[in-house]
Amino acid sequence: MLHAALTAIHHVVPARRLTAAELEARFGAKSVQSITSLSGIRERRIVEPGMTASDLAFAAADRLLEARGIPRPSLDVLVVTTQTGDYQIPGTAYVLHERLGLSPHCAAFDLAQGCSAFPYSLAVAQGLFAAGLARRALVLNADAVSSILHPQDRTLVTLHGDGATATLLETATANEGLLGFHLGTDSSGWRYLCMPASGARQPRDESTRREITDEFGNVRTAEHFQMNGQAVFHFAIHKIPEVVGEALGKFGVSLADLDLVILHQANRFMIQQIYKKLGVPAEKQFFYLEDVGNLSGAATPAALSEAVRQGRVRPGALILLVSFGVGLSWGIALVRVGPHGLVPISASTELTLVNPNSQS
Amino acid sequence: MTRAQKLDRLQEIFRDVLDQPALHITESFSPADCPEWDSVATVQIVLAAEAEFAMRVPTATVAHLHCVRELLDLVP
Repeated sequence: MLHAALTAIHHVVPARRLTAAELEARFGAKSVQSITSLSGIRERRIVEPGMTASDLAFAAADRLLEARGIPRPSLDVLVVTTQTGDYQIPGTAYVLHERLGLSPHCAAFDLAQGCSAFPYSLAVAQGLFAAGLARRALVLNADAVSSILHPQDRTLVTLHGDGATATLLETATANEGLLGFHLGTDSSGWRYLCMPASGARQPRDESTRREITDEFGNVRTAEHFQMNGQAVFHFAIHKIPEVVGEALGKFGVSLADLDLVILHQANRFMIQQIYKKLGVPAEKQFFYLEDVGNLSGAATPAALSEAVRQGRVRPGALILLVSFGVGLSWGIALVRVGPHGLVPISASTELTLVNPNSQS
Repeated sequence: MTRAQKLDRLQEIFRDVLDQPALHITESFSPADCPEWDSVATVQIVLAAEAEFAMRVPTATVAHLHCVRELLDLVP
């Protein structure tokens, strides 16, 4: 049975910065400082008009393939996860398949998964390797959540950035690569992260464009992405340590065996609380949100990519990836880095809009 | 512990989280009474109350927590 290993990873964020000063002008200094002191997010990278999540994904993928000299016809599978695709139909995977110049034998499809996207997409790709359908796959995790937020929704605007990652998977020996997964859902909370008028259930009309201000002063309409922050936060603080414990038991490993525990980069306070509950020591923690924001589905892989760039991932390292969010869902992956390690991609991690059809 | 004693202990939590040492709360105290009580503060208050009273507040309750009374009712 074929087995997948993570052999290269790269991430891209927009060059445009949304600074604390801009937000303080919009929401007031005290209000913004209250949130940022806990979130640990100083700046967010957000797309400019004309740039989409798929542009970021294309840049990440194109740079990775060029840097590694991967022949595009050699790719068997393209998996794209996004909740901010170019179109409702077709999936963004098809747009990117064409733009990346992939071959007709390369299967391409989307997974509509939010912040927990990375482990889910790796698990699906691993299944395709095991089924003999792939020997080389590209997983793209991309979101541009800033484009679906109401500009006066203080809770979300202050947290979210946009970004994309490209992850290359290739065949490996059984004791390295993607070693295990633990996935789950608490669907009683699906309403806590929701964009109500975004599909067939609630068609858009005049009423869905009506602005509503909640008790905390956040403004939104039914056509914008919404979060019940207190519920999601509470869920994460309690549920994630519990399911990480389950996962470690299932994998037969302990915290002592792990070199790095990378959590979904939602906000610093939440991550610290979960690390504390789990007892993860500082040298096994990693944060990548201060200068980019919460990158939604790209957050966990971007943190892994940044850890590689910072030299935090040694050859043979055992890494636990923990993502959670929309659904409410969680996904945990155990990854053993190969003996040659993960070499950083030397290309830029920024994208500036020049021409939507000629970015790289 | 009487309900009044529970409210006193909750008041300490609210004072600490909202950074208002002289704050006086009643059972009907809500975010409308205090601009500092935002969604972030709600989470901090609930986590502190869970630790103080060794209890677990259901996430569904946290999602729609509108006043002190709703939290006080859960204190064992």
